[in-house]
Amino acid sequence: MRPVRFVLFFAAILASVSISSFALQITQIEFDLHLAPGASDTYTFQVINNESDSQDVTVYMGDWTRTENGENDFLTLDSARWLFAREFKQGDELDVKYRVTPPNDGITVSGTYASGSPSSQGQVAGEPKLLSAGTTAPIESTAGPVAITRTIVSTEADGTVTVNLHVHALQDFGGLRIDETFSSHVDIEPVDNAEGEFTTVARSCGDWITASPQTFTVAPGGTQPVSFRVVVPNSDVSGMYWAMIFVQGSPRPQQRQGATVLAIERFGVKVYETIPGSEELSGEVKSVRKVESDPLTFKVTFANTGNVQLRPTGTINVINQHGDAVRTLAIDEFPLLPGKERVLSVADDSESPLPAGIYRALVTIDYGGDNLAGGTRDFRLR
Amino acid sequence: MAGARSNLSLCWITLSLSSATSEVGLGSRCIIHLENRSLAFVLAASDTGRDYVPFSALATWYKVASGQSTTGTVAIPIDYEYLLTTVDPPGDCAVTLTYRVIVSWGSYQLYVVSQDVTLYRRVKDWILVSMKKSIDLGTVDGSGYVMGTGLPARESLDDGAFIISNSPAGWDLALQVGSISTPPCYSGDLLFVFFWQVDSSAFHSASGLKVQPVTITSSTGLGKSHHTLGYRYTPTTAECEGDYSITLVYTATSR
Repeated sequence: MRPVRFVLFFAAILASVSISSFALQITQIEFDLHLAPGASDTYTFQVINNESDSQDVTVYMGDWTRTENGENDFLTLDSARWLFAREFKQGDELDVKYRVTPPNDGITVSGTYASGSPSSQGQVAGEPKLLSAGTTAPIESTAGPVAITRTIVSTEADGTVTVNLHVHALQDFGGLRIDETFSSHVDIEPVDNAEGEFTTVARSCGDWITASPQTFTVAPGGTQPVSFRVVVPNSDVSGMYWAMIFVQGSPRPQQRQGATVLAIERFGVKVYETIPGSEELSGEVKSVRKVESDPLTFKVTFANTGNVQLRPTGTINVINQHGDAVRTLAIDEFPLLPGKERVLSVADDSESPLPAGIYRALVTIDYGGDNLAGGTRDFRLR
Repeated sequence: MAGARSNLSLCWITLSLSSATSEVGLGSRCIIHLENRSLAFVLAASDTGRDYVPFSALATWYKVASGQSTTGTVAIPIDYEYLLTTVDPPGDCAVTLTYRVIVSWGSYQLYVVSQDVTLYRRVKDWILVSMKKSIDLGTVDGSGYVMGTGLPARESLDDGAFIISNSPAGWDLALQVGSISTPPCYSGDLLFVFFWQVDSSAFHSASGLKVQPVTITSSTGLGKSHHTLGYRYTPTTAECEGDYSITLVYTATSR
């Protein structure tokens, strides 16, 4: 038998994901990065257009946070926002005050507002450069239901500027949103929110990120890679920072006449950047309240007092006067950004209610740190 | 015998025999390294043009090629396809395939040479959103006007929104008004007469959507979700002649 040499040669290819669809898709919705101070790196995700028409896509940076109910809340990059759910009467006036310490190379601000009903939007009038107190008041707009003007109240020796936003209702309206957007990230300290809800993102890393391309067209069935480069500052950084890369489609060109609703798909790609070795896990149960007796329902407020996102879980043990645990209610895992609070609603779904008596609710939350966080509430059921 | 491990896109494997053979049998065995996962690796020998064949079970051999006694080199390209499902969470997974060549002479098995190849797959946390992008609420004229109740509402009630994601934490879909277009002669508040609903629930006024987005639906885990969106426009006599449009922005994020 003659020796024969066989060489089998295989090439194997992992095919790409195949999902039959008709939509806009991105291949990564979240990035959890761990770059050291001074480090930089580039990351990529794909935008896939499975629709029958080409899509014009815009990519831009933004800030985001979560509400106390855990919902995502979007902000313009490097901005502060005040929300007023109240009704305004013609002639109402209020003043919102905040402080910023501009960087050495200065900072500018532009403000916008939007009212709910009637719907309107406009600009905040006033000096865009936050330098020193102005001598002349800005001219108030007379268009729209509200006029908002910005003045610099004072400038301190260290450069800290106190800014006043004067709100003047020119007619009755309901709901108001004010956004002050800065030319770069700056710490914003609210001084007087005038009963508005203030929101900003102190730990934004949006300025560290540059995404490319920022506008492009994806053909039907096509794919477009989007890269973003993250450059972490050399110093004064610790814990976790975050931002959002928005990927927004375009409305379909209209041929119709009359009344039309156009829908745009937008994705918010979350980017978390944690400085390795600087993580501090800390949490605190701020309050425990019994809000309903039947079904027995508690509201637990938990605060993330550390510098990284937590994903706590927990339990509520309901203990009777004999020391017996008569109910154990689970608190499902929830994400919580540093510096934020979450109000959890936990209900007892048992079929039979607890008998009348005095009880203690013992809340235990495991946030991943060395210690557990706890809180109690004594209550009576009648 | 020499070989190389695969990467994401390509793997090469070489099996060398130094013996005569009358038949070569080639099989594969699938070993899944991750627990609690449903992986669907599919194998095909593309030189034969066959369809992809799913690995139905572990430790099962599949014959993919055979040949008669000859000398020289035989090259058999093999394609793999990974069928991603919505229940595949993000992460890395690997599948090790074992190839073996059986050299036989008549009914006698002379040699068995085997080689492993590992296929890696990284699953990212992806998301897909589909919705009807243009909804025509029609042209309003005086027809249908009823004294006391006015013009009839214009509605579109069955516009689907489809979201799929494998984000283990789930996802949110938020709605906000992007822009409004009205003719120059219009001085009213279009959002005041525009309403939206999800899954046939109550209609909500769009007035607040310019101030703050609203999370209209969410998921606490991976998977797919289908919702029906409804829109209602209640014409008034304030609308002058022209075209009106409202652009809504639906934002999908992980939770």
